Amino acid sequence: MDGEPDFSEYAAARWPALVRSAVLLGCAVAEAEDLAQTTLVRCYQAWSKVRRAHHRDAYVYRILVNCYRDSRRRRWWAEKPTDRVPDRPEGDRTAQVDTADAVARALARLSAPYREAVVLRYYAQLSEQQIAEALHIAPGTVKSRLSRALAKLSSDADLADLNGGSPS
Amino acid sequence: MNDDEATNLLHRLADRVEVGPVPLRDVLRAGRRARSRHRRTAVLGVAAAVALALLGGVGVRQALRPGRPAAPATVPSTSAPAAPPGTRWVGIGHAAIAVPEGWGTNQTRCGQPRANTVVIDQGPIPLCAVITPPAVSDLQLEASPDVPTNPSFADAVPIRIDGEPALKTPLRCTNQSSSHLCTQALWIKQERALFTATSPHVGTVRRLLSSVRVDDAYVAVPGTYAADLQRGARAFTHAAEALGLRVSRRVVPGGGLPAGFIVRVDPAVGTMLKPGDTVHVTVSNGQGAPSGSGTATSSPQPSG
Repeated sequence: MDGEPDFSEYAAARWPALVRSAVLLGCAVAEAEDLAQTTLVRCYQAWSKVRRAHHRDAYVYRILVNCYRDSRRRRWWAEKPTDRVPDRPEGDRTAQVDTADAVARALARLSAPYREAVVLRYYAQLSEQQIAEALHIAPGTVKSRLSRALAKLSSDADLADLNGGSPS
Repeated sequence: MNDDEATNLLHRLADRVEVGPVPLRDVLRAGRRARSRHRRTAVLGVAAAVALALLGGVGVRQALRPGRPAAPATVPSTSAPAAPPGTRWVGIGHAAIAVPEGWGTNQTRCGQPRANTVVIDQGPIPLCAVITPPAVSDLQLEASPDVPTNPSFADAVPIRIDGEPALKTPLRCTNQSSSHLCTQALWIKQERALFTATSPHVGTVRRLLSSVRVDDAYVAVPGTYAADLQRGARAFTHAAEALGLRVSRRVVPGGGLPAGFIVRVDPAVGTMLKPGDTVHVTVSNGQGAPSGSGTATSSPQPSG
């Protein structure tokens, strides 16, 4: 393929960020690696287009988010509801509250559209315009989702614990 | 919480994730395999077209002409992919479908097909009562950014076409007054392309939808109607350039069309081209003289 070295270099550089972004979106690590791999295969297939994209990372994150949504949709079909709660003892929650766990729980409580916007803005560092393109939504919608997501995170109890009990 | 705090928190969580090395070999192997599938399709198509040209002197049709079964190529013959024998490609984005050569384009009345036809970029449909003639097949191409609202999509099956995720509805047949019609639809999310085939013959529906291909090497001339059902040249130019096509504009008296409206697009909407190819757009200057004979040859024929 034309530009294969170019692609390989890009893939190697972006791999950790893609996997970590998928984790932040809500995947387990193994699933996140599968998702990042699928994303890179699709980038390879459309590399001439990706290479010409106005903002390459925005284009690639769009693929990642689409793959993530597809995987959630498939998982939703595969999951069966149950009225039996697994009998699993809960450990001492206060012992688990370190920064990362608190952030993970707070992110998990955000709805998918808010979480996608937060991850693309504050981890992938895309601009609001680029997020709008990646998620196929209006820039104003990005702005309002980010604003509401930050408000939810600010009032999140786990994150408040990190700040000594007072929401930031 | 402000932007910096949010960035800091997410990076602290992300840094805790241990990531293995990039599986570059697997990625490249899977990517090459997917690409070779595309290439095999293209090579077979070229071979078939060459054989046809040698045997019967039949060229590959590259432009749509409303109501006419064949048209001379209006772009260099290397621009468009070769279609399977006896068919021509019509598409949306990078998705293309092989349509029988004998089919017209927008052969409809009040939105109902009057002969075997492709329906694309049709524009406003006048309201009137028309009975669909029996034994007529049609293929509708529409841009659909979201899952189509067609109820059949509630039972659609997720599939992949050339690696792209797609949804295909079950094939359903109904008896409407004197005619028996079967319908099936296919939506390719990434290309926002919706193909709906309807025919009295189950085999025709299956054949049409099984011919769909997605290939980044080619792109369809986009539709001319904007969301407000106006045929503005500016919106069309943006859409075509976003797909990697070049646009050449010519301004002429529009025969009553407002200034900036499209009189004609050549090659026609849906024609598959290579990125970088030029689409010629004739635009009205708002003056009243007729737009001239022949200008409608490659523009979609209005319904009605």
